[in-house]
Amino acid sequence: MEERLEDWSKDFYERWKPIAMGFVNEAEKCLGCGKCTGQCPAAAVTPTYNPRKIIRDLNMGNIKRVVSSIELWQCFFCGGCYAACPMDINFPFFIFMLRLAAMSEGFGWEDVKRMEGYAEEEYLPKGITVTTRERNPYILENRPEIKEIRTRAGLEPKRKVTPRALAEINMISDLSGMTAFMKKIGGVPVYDCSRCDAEIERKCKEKVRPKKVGRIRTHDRYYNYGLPGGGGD
Amino acid sequence: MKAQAVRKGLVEKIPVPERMFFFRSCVASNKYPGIETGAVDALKILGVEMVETDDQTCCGGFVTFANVAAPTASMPAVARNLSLAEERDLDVCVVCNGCWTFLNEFAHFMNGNQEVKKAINMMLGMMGRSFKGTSGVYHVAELFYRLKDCLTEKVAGSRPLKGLRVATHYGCHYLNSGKYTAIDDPFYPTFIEELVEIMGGTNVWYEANRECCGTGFSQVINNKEVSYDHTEMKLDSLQAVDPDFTVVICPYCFTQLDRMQQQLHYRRGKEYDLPVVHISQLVGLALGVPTKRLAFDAHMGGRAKLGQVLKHFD
Repeated sequence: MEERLEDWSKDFYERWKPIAMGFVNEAEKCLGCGKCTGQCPAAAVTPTYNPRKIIRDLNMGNIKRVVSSIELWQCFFCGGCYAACPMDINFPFFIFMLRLAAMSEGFGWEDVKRMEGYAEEEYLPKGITVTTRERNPYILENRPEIKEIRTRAGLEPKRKVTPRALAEINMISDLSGMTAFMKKIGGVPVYDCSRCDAEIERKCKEKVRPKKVGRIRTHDRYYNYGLPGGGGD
Repeated sequence: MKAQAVRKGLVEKIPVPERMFFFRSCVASNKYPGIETGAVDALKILGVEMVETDDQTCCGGFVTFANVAAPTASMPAVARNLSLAEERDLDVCVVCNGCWTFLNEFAHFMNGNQEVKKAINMMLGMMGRSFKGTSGVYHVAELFYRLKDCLTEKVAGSRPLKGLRVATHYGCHYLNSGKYTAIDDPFYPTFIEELVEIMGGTNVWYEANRECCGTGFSQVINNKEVSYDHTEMKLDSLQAVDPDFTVVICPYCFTQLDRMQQQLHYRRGKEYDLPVVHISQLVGLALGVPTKRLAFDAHMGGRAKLGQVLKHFD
């Protein structure tokens, strides 16, 4: 996207650091060695994703470029950059907190919306994030039901979570503002392949980017760090 | 490899109690139950009894790193789960890299930040719980390594994995995020290889050994193509050496490497036959836990080969 002078902020990093709750440590220590980028699995498949450049932009105050980029959402969260970093910069936490900053500027909500279903439909009502539900028809046809597998292995047919535990995590969610946040994003369509029809197939293939997520307007994001296939700058 | 002395120090710090709190993993319980039964049974044979409770919920790492929950929302949930172990005065044993790093990292943060801890305890106080930060969180793979003398003793006569070629995959969240706390080096780990050797197996090296499985956390949901590219590279490299088992220590890597074989066959016409097992299943097999108990019928990838290999054990 086009860069403008007023998008730069000299003191963003300083202002944002305390808000990021002490999770992020000192990006200003960055030596620019690029070890993070060299070993990065996300950079291997998305050549424009470059942790070193993101840290540089953060330090220099070129914030709009970071938060409006598609690259910010390409991180794999593998932590290899932290392991490789000679200055112990915990970059995954930077990505995590920068994504929150991007969201507050109105970017990336469509990605978060897709994940919200896991919290709303699974984590809060059942206490378990990854449930027994299978959406892949191959698995449904070729594997016994999980309760059968569990019974044969000598376990209870279904893993239980007590009502008290459920009440407690829901209370935590209410008190900490997570429930209110999820209401803001709104419900999420999760496509079930076993019930696929022409309409769902179209949506699945076209991947329409929503303009609004719940009550929030989302902005388009751009490849701000070069051409998607590699090259350019 | 971490300097031998450093590694020895870290391993010796891991306690060997008689009882431990078993932290269930959502992927293990609901997709591959053999991981949990394997861990419980194998550790029992090695002399550690597992205590479980239905009061435990998911660690919450998934919703947090998907940016649905702010850390302020998930930290009390972590504290709540850990308080269950503290009530019983036990250390925690986890089977998943994600649970390990999330519980460890957030417990460390709360312990080092008294204000946050106080605020969280205020919230937990409303439900009659409290977080003290006294329980340690240990990965089942590092426990097996800690108990390797006992393991050596048990398998010395039989060497049950003899003749099997085993490839390893460590996953990211144990070694990378645990740069200073994990027992091995993030870039040249060897402790699973050592365990395989103890059990009599042959380690095979493949080029993409240290690569991520390709789940990429939320990328498998939001940017599928990126995830497929990465996993394809990983699986191609594995298929080239054609191991009998690919051993992982994380249920989420397990899901990716196991199920993507079919997905990549369907989408890109690839042919793979790679049985994937979790370290607790492998140790379970070696210690003579019945295959029925290890739930191999939940495995989707490499079924042809898995059938042949399991004949050795029945």
